[in-house]
Amino acid sequence: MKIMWTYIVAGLTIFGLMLLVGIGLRASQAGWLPIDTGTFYSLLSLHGVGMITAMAIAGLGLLWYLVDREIKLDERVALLAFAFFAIGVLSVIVSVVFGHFGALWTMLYPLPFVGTTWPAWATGAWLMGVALVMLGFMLICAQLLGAILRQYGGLGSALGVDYVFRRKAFEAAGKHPPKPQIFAATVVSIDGLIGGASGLLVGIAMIAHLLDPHVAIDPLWAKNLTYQFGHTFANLTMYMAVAGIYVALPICTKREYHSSVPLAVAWWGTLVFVIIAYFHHLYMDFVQWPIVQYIGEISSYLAAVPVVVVTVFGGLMLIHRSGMKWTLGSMFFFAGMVGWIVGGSAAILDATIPLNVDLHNTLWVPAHFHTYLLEGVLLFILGWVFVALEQRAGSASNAVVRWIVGLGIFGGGAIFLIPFYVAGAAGVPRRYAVEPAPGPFWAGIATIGALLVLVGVLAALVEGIRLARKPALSVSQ
Amino acid sequence: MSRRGVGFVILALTALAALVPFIDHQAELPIWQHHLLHAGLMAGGALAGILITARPRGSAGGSGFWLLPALLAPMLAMFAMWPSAYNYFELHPLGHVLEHIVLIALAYITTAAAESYAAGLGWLIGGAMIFMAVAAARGFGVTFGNGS
Repeated sequence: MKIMWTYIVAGLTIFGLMLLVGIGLRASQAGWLPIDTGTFYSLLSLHGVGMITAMAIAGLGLLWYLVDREIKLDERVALLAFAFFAIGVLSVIVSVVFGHFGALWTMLYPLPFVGTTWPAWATGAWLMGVALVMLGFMLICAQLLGAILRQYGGLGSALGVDYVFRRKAFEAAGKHPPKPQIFAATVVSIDGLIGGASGLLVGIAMIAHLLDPHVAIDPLWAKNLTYQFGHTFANLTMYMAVAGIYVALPICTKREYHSSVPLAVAWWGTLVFVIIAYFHHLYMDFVQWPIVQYIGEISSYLAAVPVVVVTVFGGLMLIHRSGMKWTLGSMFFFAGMVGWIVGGSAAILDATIPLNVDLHNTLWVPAHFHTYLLEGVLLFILGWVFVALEQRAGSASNAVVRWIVGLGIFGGGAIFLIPFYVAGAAGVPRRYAVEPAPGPFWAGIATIGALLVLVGVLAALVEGIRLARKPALSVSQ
Repeated sequence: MSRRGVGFVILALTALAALVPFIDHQAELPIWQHHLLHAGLMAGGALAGILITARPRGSAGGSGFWLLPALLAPMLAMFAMWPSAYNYFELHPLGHVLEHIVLIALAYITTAAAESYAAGLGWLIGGAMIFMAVAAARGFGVTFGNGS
């Protein structure tokens, strides 16, 4: 539990700080807050990398705990990984706050090196920071994967291959398939190691280029690797948090979430296709091989749809007529599944080539990933936190608190997100400090929505502290 | 021959291949080909590390701290494949051979350390490392007409 809470509290703290930065950025785009363009791009860089890292740290804490419940893990390794995260985050903050690095979280080559307004050391600090975060992430992935391999005796068993293809013999032998959260952990670990390898390679190439400009880098190669790691890393934050559904919903509904053949096969799809779905970010790169553009489109559907459908359907079946109480924990999980579907659908629309022609690099893109992270990953994390706190205290929040939190995070969230979609559909480009019309109008609406989200988050924080301070329910009660 | 025996044979053959610069010191390879040859040497070292260290499937496994060398060694290997150093190494066979030995050793450490933590993990982390080495041939120190 100590590791889980360390990671989740750290992740949510970074989230809170990045939320404030994000509100400032939207207010600036609305013309309500004067921020010069250099500072804007520095803060946007910090906000992007900070939010994804925050969700990854919190999600990893949850996933680590869920695996630790099944297979004993060494806490010291998780603490070492946490140290990498902490130093990495500090390095990124130094790069942005003191060095004014502003090449955004994608740090696409040659942007961090050509025509920069920040010193070279800031680029170095940024690259080192991201590399350390990636190293911490890979350390946890390797720890989880190794533990799973030891427990199940190999990758095939951990992925339920025997269970799917030789089910009668498997069940006749009295064996049980891996629990659903183990599928999530296996997929996150493998894809995390592959994505991390891409990230480290392009990061090392850029560090080499920084130290020795004679080291050339192929820009298309760098973009492929950057998105392979970046898209995979961002995507996996969801799959870390999704593992919480399989354990928390059974607590809320008093029903078990079983592994099934469709669930196993759906996770296989995610395993294979998440790492190649990133090609949809390169549709406009005409020098890219045409075949990979088609692979990008098909993979985008196959990575997300099966596991969303199976998991959410299973979740709804658990909830249906279960008499589940609507506490903050169960509300967050239910709303998180809605956010996962909405954000995922918006992502798939953007990954569909005829639609991408209009939506590529418009505000539609942040629309989908803000939905995915804010109304998906974050809600699963908060859901887990509140289910744990409610279990521990043996009580739930009252209706007034639920309404305040719900209106703030879900209602304010909708007011925050819809302007991204509308402005994106209208063709307003993403990553611009000064947006063309109707961008500023919608940025104003989004700022109001984000402030409401902040109110909801603060209410949840106060309620979380209140529940945490209540004496733990004893077993006899 | 036992699995460990095969591992030692592969390691010996890879070490022999690392000596090629002593024989052919006029070679001037493009960087991308050089990267691929290094990837081949690393594959030999990685395979030897797995075969020599491998535990039985499902066995208890070692300390989690084996993961640190398993993850740091591939990073060091990528730094050892510093492209602008290749010109120097092509003129200095001893340095070139030493570079090869370092790459093989790092690849060996990667998979041996991963296998020491958990049986089967060496294949996955070793595979990720070879992916890095092969992928380097497409853009680390080289461009393919897409600007620079």
